[in-house]
Amino acid sequence: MTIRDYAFEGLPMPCPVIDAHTHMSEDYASGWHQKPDKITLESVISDYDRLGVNACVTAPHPIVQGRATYANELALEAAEKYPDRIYCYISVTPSEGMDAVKRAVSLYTRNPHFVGFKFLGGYNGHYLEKEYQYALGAANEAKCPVLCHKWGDSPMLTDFITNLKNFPDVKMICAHLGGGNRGETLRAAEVVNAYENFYLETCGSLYTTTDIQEVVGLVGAKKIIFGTDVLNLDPRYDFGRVAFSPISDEDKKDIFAGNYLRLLETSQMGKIKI
Amino acid sequence: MKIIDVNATVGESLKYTRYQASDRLLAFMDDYRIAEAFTWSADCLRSPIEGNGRMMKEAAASEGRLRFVAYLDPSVPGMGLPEGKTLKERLIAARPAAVRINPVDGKYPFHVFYLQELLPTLEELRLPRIVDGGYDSLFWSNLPEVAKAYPKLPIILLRVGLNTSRVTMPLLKYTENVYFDMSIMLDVGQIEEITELGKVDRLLFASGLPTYEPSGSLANLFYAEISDADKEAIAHGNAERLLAGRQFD
Repeated sequence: MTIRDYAFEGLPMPCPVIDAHTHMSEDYASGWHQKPDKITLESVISDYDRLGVNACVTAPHPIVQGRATYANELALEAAEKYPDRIYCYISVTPSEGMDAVKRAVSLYTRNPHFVGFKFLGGYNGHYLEKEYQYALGAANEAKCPVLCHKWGDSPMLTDFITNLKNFPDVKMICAHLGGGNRGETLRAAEVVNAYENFYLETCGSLYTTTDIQEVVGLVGAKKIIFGTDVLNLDPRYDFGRVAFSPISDEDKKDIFAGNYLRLLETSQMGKIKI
Repeated sequence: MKIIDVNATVGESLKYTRYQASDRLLAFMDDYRIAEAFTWSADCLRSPIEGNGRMMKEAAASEGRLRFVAYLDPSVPGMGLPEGKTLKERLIAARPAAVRINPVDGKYPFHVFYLQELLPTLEELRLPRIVDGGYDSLFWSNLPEVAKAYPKLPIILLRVGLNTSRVTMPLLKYTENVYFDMSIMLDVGQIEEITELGKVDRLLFASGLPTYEPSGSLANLFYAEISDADKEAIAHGNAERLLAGRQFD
């Protein structure tokens, strides 16, 4: 059976899957909604079991409101409850100030539950702000992944390019396939092809006309990282965009987990155990 | 599992999409294991004569896999359908699976007043009416009135889901004839929430081809935490019930 056959049977994936973009905890602001019994960690794990997702990396929802300190506490709590299933990003927001960012870096970069950083620019400033620059310096030293939000052209792709030049050891992952629409994906793909350390992450694809097969054609399967945005989004849609895609099983395995695991091989932060 | 797609499009006016012609749509349907598709021609927006005319022929040649969806423009109702004295006669002659309207492209409000020459006929024929996009606040305000004024007219809304639970759930609870394509129902657990409400009979599978592709929608269906019977209802049973409810004779 191919991975696609498993999907058409509604079975868990027969290969490792890492969800590299998640926001544990509820969020009912701005029209978001979750079925009330779907907001617990137990429920997320149960849903992951049905899909065959082995592990995830999370930056809980308070990061949206600029509450990175609280997001990091929630992330650690979740990871300690579900070690080997839930891993953490160090959430960074400029609004909490430089001292908070330094404290988070000091607290979490050597904690094995934390595997990288999460920036939510656009919601929280732009990526050339000094707090992000400090965190990027730490990430560069740790050679770890940094998942960066981008929706449309916010934050601007030019800021990504500046940071890619200045922090060449950061594994920079651009969320939402470069910004959630085809035009942004095409622009981001050029940058992905120009920088070895720049990747596209898959979630939030419901409005884009670009399918995974085309993204593979643009940047190659090894530059694509799987993510779902749960609990903002139900994870099934973006999961299905890979699982039901007509691309090869080898490419699916790279996207679902292989690429992310490779990013962590040279990282000095936490590792994901599969 | 048999799958009927209620949102597929063909047409030479489609730009930057996966295909234009019906044979390519059929190839995509084969690849994604979709048995049948409610299909309209986007060429109708410029010329209902060309679009409806060609779509009827291509549907007839598809051995039942492409089900003709008639595009209706309120300013020229029935254009492109077989000859007849009234819209009702023309629709009976055409026997579409559904009709499709596009208030946004046509620049008219979705309101009983502006649709009063179409809706009585469509309700009499129990013809599912697909409303194509443009679901803004005014649309959501007007929809309950339209649904209640024509309670036997199925109204199908496409690609509604994320961040819409605060309108979809009341519409499911308090109207009887509003249906949703579930392709981008991405509020977390939305399909399960609707099923628990007892309204799974109002969800329909759709791909959005060729602008979009079916893979995400397929996962919403195949990985839904609902019974197999409910999955069958979404995949094809609800669409078949709407088709069986049409009253052409």
